[in-house]
Amino acid sequence: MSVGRVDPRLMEHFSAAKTPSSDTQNTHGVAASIHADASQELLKELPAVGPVTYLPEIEVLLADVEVAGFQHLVEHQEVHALSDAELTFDVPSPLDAEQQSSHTTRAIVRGDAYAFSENEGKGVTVAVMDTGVYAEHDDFGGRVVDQISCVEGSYQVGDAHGHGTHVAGSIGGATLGVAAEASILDLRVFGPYGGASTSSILRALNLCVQRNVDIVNMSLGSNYASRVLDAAVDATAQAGVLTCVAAGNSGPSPYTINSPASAQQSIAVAATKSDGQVASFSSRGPNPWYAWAKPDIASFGVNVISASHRGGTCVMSGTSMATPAVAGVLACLVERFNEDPDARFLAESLLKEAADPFGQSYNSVGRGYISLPVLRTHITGTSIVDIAFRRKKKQMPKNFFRDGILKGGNCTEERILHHVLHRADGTYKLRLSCRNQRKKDDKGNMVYDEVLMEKWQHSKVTQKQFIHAMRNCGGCGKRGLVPIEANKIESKKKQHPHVTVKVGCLYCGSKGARKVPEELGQAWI
Amino acid sequence: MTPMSAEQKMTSCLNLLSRGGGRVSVQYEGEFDEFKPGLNEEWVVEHFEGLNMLTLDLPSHGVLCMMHPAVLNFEEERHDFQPLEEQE
Repeated sequence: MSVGRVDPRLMEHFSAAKTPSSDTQNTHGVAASIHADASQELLKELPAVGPVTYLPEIEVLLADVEVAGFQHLVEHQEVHALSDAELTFDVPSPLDAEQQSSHTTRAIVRGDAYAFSENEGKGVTVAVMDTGVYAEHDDFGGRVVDQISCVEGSYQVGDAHGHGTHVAGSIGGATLGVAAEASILDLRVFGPYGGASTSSILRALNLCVQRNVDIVNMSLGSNYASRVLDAAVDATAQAGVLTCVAAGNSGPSPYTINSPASAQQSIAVAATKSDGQVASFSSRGPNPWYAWAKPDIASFGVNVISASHRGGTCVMSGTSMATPAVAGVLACLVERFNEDPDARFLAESLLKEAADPFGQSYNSVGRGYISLPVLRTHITGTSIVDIAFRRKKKQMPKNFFRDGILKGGNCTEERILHHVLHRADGTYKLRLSCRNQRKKDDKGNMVYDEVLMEKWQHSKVTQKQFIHAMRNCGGCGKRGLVPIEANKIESKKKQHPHVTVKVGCLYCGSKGARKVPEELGQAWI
Repeated sequence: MTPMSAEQKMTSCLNLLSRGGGRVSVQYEGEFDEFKPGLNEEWVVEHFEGLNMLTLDLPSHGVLCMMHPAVLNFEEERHDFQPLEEQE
């Protein structure tokens, strides 16, 4: 037999056993590969210690031998190979059910969405309002741009809990998150001993507005309504920040949406399994506190692998884990539309348009499950983005919001404003159509809904609303506010030139006017 | 978000009064300068200008300032917001 076919561990063992001072036990189990015909002779002549066994099925002879026996086997012409029979193998412990069904958000929500291969959220800032972030985690690659403690009386940053790091990993982790190049702003709102206070959350939301972050992720909630916090979320959204909020883990009973997910302008996120089916724990609509429907959307949030605050990864479940998936998708979309001043608005619209409910109710998943593969499928066909850009560039390039997407009134779907008619008596007639269900007459012509605006009242609108929203009426709260008219003001003083924009609500008729800098109001002139 | 009605505000004020005042979060409309004369500025803990909101430490004799028409919503400070991780 060639010595090369002897297990080196056996060679080592019996070499050591030859030395007189060796502590090595002389007897050792060996497995010799030998044909059945030759095995009988070997069984008789082998100087073995104890019984010798031959296994004809696999043509292996097992024996405990000392140095002489080992030498005999090595020199035997019919032995093909010698192995260590006492070798133990480290059998990997079987994965438990949770580990077997766990995935990273990147694997499920990003998947193979090649249409978005160049969109990793570069240049997009996502604020993570949570327990803090372990910024030194390898997966963040130094993209945690700032860490601020919003907890009263505490300047401590970092993550002692783990929740915030897991959330941030699903948003912007290089190997774990959806938007691998997004910047993370860590806003810690949870102190070391339990819940977050209203003040700390308001402080964090205020920072989001002041810093004009693109997206804020709020994987937090309460079982009780908070009018103030809901109003703060609305104010943040009106300032142009995309506000993703976890729907809550109080399902499957109805009326279990948490505050602040119940806020009108939040993007309330339900949790699904990796197949898009809603998780049992995910809170369900209808909205227990207000008239508007919630949740808005759903994404992957069960057994999610993401970054651990101790390094490496860990598995968590909850609507907390689904919310960063949506924030990550939005980051990719905002980057995709980054040359458009309405990038955030377009991203949110596309997100809701493309979501697929997979036959589940609105109360379970809102408009449906979202992921980049779902978006890819959507944009290959007729899409809101196609429609929005076509209108914007060809039909009414100077005024997107006159052609914008509105929501509210009797129609529960989003609407498109087609025409504003200025009437001699000072009233206005608006022509609208439902975007999802276009009505046509017998001849195939479009049929529009007409809204007459008669009653005008003063309504204050912030400058940022002009930029990003122009949708929410300060009077009735419905998404019906549109610009009607803009006039340039010639200032005699050397002031920054500005324009006045008149706005009106389609539904309650309230009106307002506001001076805005010329560059912002230029679109309305 | 619809503002609190006068009845809701009064009920909340009385509840706050019975507890001897406390820390409240307030949403107001309009400019803060218009609302400021209705407050003792020493009560202002923090002003969130981007949100048109305030955190106030109201003494018992100051709770009725929440009836000011510029106040849209207010509630006592809470600490019950939790991370929404599902516990197995």
